[in-house]
Amino acid sequence: MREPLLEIRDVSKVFPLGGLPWRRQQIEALSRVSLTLQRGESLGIVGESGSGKSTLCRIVLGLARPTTGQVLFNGGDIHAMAPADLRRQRRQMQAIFQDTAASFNPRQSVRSVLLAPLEVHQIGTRESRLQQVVEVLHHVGLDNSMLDRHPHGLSGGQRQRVAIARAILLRPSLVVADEPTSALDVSVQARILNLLREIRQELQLTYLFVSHNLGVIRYVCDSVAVMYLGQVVEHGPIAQVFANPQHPYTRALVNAIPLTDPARRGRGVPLLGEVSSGTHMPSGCRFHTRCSVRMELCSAEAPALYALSNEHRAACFWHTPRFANGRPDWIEAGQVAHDGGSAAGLSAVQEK
Amino acid sequence: MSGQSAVRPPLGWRRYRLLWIGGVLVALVCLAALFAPWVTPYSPYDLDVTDMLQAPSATHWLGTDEIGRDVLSRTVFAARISLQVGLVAVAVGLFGGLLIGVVAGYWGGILDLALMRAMELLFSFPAILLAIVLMAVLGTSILNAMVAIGIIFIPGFARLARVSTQKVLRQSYIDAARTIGMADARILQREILPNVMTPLLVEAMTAFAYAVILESSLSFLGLGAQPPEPSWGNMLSTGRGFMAQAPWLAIVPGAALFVGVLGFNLLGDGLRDFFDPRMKD
Repeated sequence: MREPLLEIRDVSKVFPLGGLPWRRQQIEALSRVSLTLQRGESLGIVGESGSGKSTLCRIVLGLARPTTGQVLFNGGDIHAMAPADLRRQRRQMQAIFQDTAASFNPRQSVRSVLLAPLEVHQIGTRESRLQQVVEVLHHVGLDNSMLDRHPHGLSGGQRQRVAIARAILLRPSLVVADEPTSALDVSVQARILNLLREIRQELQLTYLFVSHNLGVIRYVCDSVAVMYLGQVVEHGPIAQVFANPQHPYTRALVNAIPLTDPARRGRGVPLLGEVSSGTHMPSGCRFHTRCSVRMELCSAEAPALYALSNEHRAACFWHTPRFANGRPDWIEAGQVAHDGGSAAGLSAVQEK
Repeated sequence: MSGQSAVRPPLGWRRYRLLWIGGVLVALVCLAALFAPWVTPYSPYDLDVTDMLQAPSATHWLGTDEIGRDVLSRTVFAARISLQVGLVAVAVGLFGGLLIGVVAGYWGGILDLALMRAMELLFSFPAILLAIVLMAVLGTSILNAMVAIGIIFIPGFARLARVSTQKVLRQSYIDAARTIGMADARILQREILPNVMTPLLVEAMTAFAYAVILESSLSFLGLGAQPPEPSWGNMLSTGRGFMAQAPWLAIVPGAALFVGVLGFNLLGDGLRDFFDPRMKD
């Protein structure tokens, strides 16, 4: 098996919230997340606000440190590297951010924004850098007239094109896109998504693509990991997860996608209540407070991720043989997925 | 910056009244200081014992003082001292505060805690008391007055710089800079400094007005400009003794001080409205 480009190993992130020292509150934004990305793969991460998607991105990019766990990029732990080595590695991993307005220094023109990556890594000469910038601008569908404009004078879509240009300038292998289209108008979204798909083909990029929109993920990604309150609850190839969601949460999300044909709508698995707060994490399975098919066990114990097929995993007790009787008809039997580090895709084992 | 000014409305009188009034007053004081030797009818040092305590007249428009020096000339020359002190003191405060605030805001943690507690310690003393103590330590001279006043300004600028730095750090363009591999020094210089300067420059105007007051206070107490050097403060101090016989001795430098301070304050408020209209009341 090829060496994975990115390996997220058992990453947790705890944010302290202050308070009195003997009763300090904290939020566990990520809980033992393990994900593996092969070169050329495009993995989508979906989940509602507070599920830890953005925290995961920041940790992968080396912008935040994990409380425990490792992020291996090209085999090296980016959080154990010397700062100078990490800066060199960063050539290989670039990012596109959600807020198109905040991701540019208001005092810089498009020209200086795009020259910066080349200057930082001392690529080429003064003239060849500008040449490269112009080429990349054309690549993302903008022209030279943009060079002297300020990002704040551009439309959201144009700004996101400049952000994409900045991300691909250094010819990275991994691009982390944190909600790259959710701040854009719907008509613009489609064009940016097409652009992201095209450049992925042309430059053979690997994407870690975060969105709260399943439709967007389906369009851009090969596989998807569904997160709920800092944990991965289901992970698998996009077609399988969409056709046959195996976690009650995923099922509710997939059913929430509007369909043009009402007759094709599956039976709903409704979500109950509101998303729990990170400070008062539910006991047992974190999803049990909102689950329509919960059992008594769910509030006491947390389920492991169960392998349903070679690449498809989900974290629900209904997958165990113990609960073969009374299992909802859409849920398949599975086995506990062991975190051997060899399996492709996700393996986050909850040990309790 | 050129791109931004294009979106701003023109500098209309109705919208930027404060800016205009402040600007005119400040310009007046600055021009007087700059061209003092050419616009004054007499030397500020020449005394004429036959002409003591003269009331304003055609020869001495604003009268003469207790040793016969022309009050108008001395008041105009005193603007030079005030502006010099303001300039140096604000520069000391601005650069000291910028350095401390940006370092504290950028690196945070223990460093931030230590630096900011030190700033609060400085802040906890009344400004004039701190100035007097610093003058006692440094020795009485106009140069030391500039430095002492500058040190008083450091905590204010440092707090402002720290908060602005933290605000800028939360923007994703800082994450973007890190992601392209930029080192701390370059992030500070390219991304942070240009974006924290605006509020500091506005604050500098207000500090300038305050520096003029502090310099006058120190000179009034005999700790700033030393006679025969004219300063609004030491002129007020002498004039105070002649309020009954020659009220113009105190009123003229007092009025000059009033105009100068008002001008810098209005200019500061005007600049604030100009740079950030949302902050307007």
